[in-house]
Amino acid sequence: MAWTALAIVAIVGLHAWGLQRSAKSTLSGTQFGAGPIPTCQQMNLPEGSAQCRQIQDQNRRVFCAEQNVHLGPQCDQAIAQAQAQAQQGFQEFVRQEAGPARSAKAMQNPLGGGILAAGMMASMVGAVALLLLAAGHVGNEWSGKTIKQVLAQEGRRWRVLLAKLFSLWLLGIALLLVLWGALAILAPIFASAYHLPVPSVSGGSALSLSLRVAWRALLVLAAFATLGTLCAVVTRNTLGSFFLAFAFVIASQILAPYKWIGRFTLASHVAGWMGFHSSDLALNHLWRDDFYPLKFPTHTAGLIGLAVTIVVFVALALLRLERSDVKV
Amino acid sequence: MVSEAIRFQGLSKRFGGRAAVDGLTLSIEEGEVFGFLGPNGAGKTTTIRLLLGLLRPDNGVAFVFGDRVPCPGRLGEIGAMVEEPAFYPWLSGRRNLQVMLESGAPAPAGAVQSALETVGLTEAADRKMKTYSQGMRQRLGLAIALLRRPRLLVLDEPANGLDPAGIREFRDRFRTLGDAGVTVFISSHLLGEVERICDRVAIVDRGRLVAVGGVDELGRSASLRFRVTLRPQDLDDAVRLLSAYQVGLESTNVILVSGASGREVNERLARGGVFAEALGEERSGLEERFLALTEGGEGAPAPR
Repeated sequence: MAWTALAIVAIVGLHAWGLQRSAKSTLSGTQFGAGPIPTCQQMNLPEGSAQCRQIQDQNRRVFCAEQNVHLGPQCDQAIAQAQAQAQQGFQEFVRQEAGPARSAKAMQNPLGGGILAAGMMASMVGAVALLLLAAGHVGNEWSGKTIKQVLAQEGRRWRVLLAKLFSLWLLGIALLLVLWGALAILAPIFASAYHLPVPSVSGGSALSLSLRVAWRALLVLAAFATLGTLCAVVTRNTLGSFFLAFAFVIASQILAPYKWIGRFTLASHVAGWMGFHSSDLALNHLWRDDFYPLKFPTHTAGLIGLAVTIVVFVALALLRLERSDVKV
Repeated sequence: MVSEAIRFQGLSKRFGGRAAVDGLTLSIEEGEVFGFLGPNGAGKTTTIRLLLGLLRPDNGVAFVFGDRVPCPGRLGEIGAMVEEPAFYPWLSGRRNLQVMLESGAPAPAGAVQSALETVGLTEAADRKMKTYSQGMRQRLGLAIALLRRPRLLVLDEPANGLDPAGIREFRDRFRTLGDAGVTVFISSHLLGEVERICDRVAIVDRGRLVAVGGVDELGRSASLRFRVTLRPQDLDDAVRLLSAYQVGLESTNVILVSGASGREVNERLARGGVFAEALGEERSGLEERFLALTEGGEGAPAPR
């Protein structure tokens, strides 16, 4: 468990660092909304200052010469058109980049680390972690032959299964919290190393954003835990359990855009429930978020899909465990 | 009134096409120390797994204290050690016991420490289990079985991996538990040990019950023979004089006589003028009986 946590912290920490660098590099190479004639504010010059006016006049002459129009109303009209186009480009840029920028900025607040922590735990990082833990926590009961000892103490197999499942889910939540804690420690380092030219995210806002994502991740972690448990009970060994479950996850990623089956895949349920396409706040994840030609699944579809998945997986695992002979 | 601790009724279990347990019907009374004997692959471990609800029978039923198996509510009264006990190697012996305790029915306060003391593992209790010797693992397995002070102790080859002192210690422990009213069901192929501590035994072979009875009873019914030591020159005369019985030659001056009493052997030889140098009784006992019933003691290979 400790090594798993350490590995996940290392992976996500590096990913977070990459996101900060990427946001900084994207933002620093762009002049927000700057058309042919930048405002004094955009040039960081006092409004109405002689220097500002001089640069604006110079830019106006250069622009009109490039456009082959004379200074005057014709030139002013061309400038207005160019400014409008620049503004439109800016809006587009904001739409595409504001999410990642805000997300990166939120990560610079210790309370905002939950966004990335939850995004990662509700996607491939969390899936792999929980499937590995399920293999060790459940599948290894057969590989290590301890299952006979456990079932000789507690004959109600459903209780053993639910205890395993619940503890696995708690381990997933613990990993999420550890990850959030590690990102909180990294937050001031990111803040001092990367000055992002976007508005700061307040503590309350960062916490609210984190919690909004984290509570959704709890259901996804439950789905991963049930998948891992089911595969462990089916294969009844450590390695087989992990590989079967991992194959299921990969298959669901591949099949997600297919017309008839796509909407029933785990990939689709998770993406829909978590809102991995969200643009107001880029939710960093390692999961499929492109379902073309299918529409992106809704929150409700994701919720129903995950709930059904959990119920079906638990029922299958119970059935399998209740009916199986313990020969190890 | 003595009640039944265990009852098997037509119990059968097949693995693939082969019967591991075949129509086993047997009853063990409360307070008995019962030996369950059989060669490798006879179905002993399968029977124990069926008794604990780890396997589902194809036919028949098992009862524990009158409740049909599987009976999860009764597991708190059963202490079991199935085959080679398995543990979590990264945990200490004490922690392993705690985990097992938390897995099932509640136990009396101080159960872990008490179990550790009983099996003599107190000093090694806080060491990681992976550092334990085979004998220590066996002791820890017994400690798990004893955790809840069970009414019924089910032990599958408990002496495996123990040194002679350990075997003797376990033997005394089981006998003491039996004397205290605990029903002890021991599967083993160490006939000498079973003979010493059990009240009754059952012998199984290829999944079938071939004999059941008191240890003395089974031993007595085994063949009785006499070893007669003679002078080599008297050997032919002795064989002639004892021709009414089964006579086998062991060496040039020793014969083995079956089907006669000691007095008859002595009288026939003396009347013919042959005097034995030595005449000794050889009771083949449980071992001979076991080997006779199980056709040499090694059953067909079978899943355990």
